Amino acid sequence: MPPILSIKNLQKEFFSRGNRVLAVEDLSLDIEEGEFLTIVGPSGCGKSTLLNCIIGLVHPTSGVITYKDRKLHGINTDIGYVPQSDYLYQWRTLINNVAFPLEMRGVDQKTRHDKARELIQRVGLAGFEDHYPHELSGGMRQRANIIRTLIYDPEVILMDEPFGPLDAQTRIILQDQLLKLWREARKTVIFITHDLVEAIALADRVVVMTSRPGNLRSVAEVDIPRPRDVFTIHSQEAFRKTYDQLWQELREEVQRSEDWMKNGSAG
Amino acid sequence: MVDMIDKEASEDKGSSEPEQSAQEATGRVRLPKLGEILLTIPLPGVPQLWRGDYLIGALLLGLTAAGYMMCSVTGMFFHAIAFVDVSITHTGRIIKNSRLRMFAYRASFAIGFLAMWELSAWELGPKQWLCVDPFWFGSPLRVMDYMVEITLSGSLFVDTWTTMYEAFLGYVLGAALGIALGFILARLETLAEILDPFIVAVNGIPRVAMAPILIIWFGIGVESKIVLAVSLVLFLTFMNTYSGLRGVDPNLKNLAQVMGANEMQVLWKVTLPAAMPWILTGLKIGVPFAIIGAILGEFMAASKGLGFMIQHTSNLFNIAGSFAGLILLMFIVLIANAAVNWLERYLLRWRPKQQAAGESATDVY
Ligand SMILES: Nc1ncnc2c1ncn2[C@@H]1O[C@H](COP(=O)(O)OP(=O)(O)OP(=O)(O)O)[C@@H](O)[C@H]1O
Ligand SMILES: [Mg+2]
Repeated sequence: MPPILSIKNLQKEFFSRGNRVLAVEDLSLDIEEGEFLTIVGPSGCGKSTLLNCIIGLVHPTSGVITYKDRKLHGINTDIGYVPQSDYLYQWRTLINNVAFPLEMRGVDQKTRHDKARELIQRVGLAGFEDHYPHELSGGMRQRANIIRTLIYDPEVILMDEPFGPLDAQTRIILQDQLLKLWREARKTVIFITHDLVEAIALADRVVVMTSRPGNLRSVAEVDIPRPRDVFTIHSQEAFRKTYDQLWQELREEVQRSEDWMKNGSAG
Repeated sequence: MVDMIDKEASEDKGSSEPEQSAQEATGRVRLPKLGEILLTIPLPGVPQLWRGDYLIGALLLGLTAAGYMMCSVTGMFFHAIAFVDVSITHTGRIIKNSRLRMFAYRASFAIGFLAMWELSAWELGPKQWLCVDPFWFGSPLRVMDYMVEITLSGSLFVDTWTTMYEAFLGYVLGAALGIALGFILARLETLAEILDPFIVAVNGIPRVAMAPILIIWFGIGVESKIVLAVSLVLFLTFMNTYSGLRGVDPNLKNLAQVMGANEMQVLWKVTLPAAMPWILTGLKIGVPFAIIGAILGEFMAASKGLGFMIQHTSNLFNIAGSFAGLILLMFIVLIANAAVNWLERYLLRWRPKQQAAGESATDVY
């Protein structure tokens, strides 16, 4: 089967304040349909830039991204995006935030509210439909942020550190919920995280990126059988092995990126 | 008076908690109805014997139980709300008084001020006893007299209506143009950059200086006043709309596009609501300026309107007449502000309560 997404020789440079910053360099990666791929890497190595290139918010300097054998041009609404911090619309109630993508597609109010209500219930937010975002906790907002992307059923979902700002307990619960949702929908997911445990627990494949300019350091298959139990997964032997191996690689990259910072080199 | 407010204010802190629970218990706090008998219960923990008002209440009504919890039954609305924390009406309603009390303080301030003004204008013997000559300063009763007079002659209605009409039309036109211009220039960046220095320069011209020309162009009727009001309101709403639209986080718009919104939808469903707080700020600041524009025009040349009336009466040294004009103006501004505040509260109902409360602290009740 051909890959659903294919990235070939992707390169992205930014010019800011007279400096050239090479964020991603010559990166090639194929993503299979229905796969759960996680990406880890040092801070600032170009992970968000990679996702932004895939959804079309950032134009690659060179390289080609194909989606189902079509070359990508601009924003592709078949691809959903859960951003690094929740950009819920402050002036919309929870249910209207979640239903936003359907509203944009001209779905009538009853249908879209029914669908939103069902998802809201599934992630345990029932009763908060008419609350505004500032009346929700960080964890609740993050759930809303995720189901807002699930509601319109995009083929591919990109998630940029969706659980980043949350506490450890909430993270684990949300990881569990995410795996359940994914098992039912079988979407292709690309998931960025800085937490290696999370990366391994969720993924079919884990990508470790090099320090900037971002490229692939290694790609590891995780053969822990599904359904997985995120609460106990780290005590399994297969988990430990993968973890030790990847942690070794990640540490080197993080170290390298730290050294760059210390030496004050910008590019 | 000031003493009493201070004392009450410091006591308030001590008793704020039980008050809160009393409010929770009853849900809403309402004004007592006329004819209800109030049983007032001061809260414990406050040195109530110092409250002289209780003695007065007791003397007047002949019933006060002494003790730790002191109760008084009073038919005096003012007494009941001004000095006690919680009142119960004879129908069993509980009324929390801190808001009513503030209302009472404000009412007594207004009454006290008017009374002093009136008293100081009284003539005792050959000289003014406080050296305040009502010829120069008028007096509340004289102002009332004049109000009655112009109400009967019909000029109160004509003048008030004229000014309201000019200010309202100027406001609506100015705001509409300003908001539209804000949208257009926020969209056309290059044009905005080209026009920027000119906009700043034109806006810098004092409107008083423009008034004579505008009167030549638009005549001494309402049109020149409307144009003056427009020229003031337009810039304010334009500036606020423009910077509000430019300030919207691009991520919010990008994300909407990713979620399937087209350009029009992004504009109406994301950019506009996100910029709404700024637009409303412009609309709020614009209200008094619309009235300034109208009055300014009327000062220059007019045959009706409150500005004309104020100038006309003061030319005749009819100070009471001028004060009547000022008071009418004040009411117009209050009503207009209330309308815009209501609009803001409705449109920004999604904002955190704290923020909303912080702003409504400056509202006039
Ligand atoms: N719009 C931009 N303009 C200029 N430089 C940018 C821009 N966006 C990103 N960069 C640079 O590109 C590099 C990669 O940024 P990116 O946001 O992709 O990192 P990241 O891997 O997502 O980091 P983190 O884990 O901290 O989110 C950074 O050095 C950053 O300074
Ligand atoms: Mg990032």
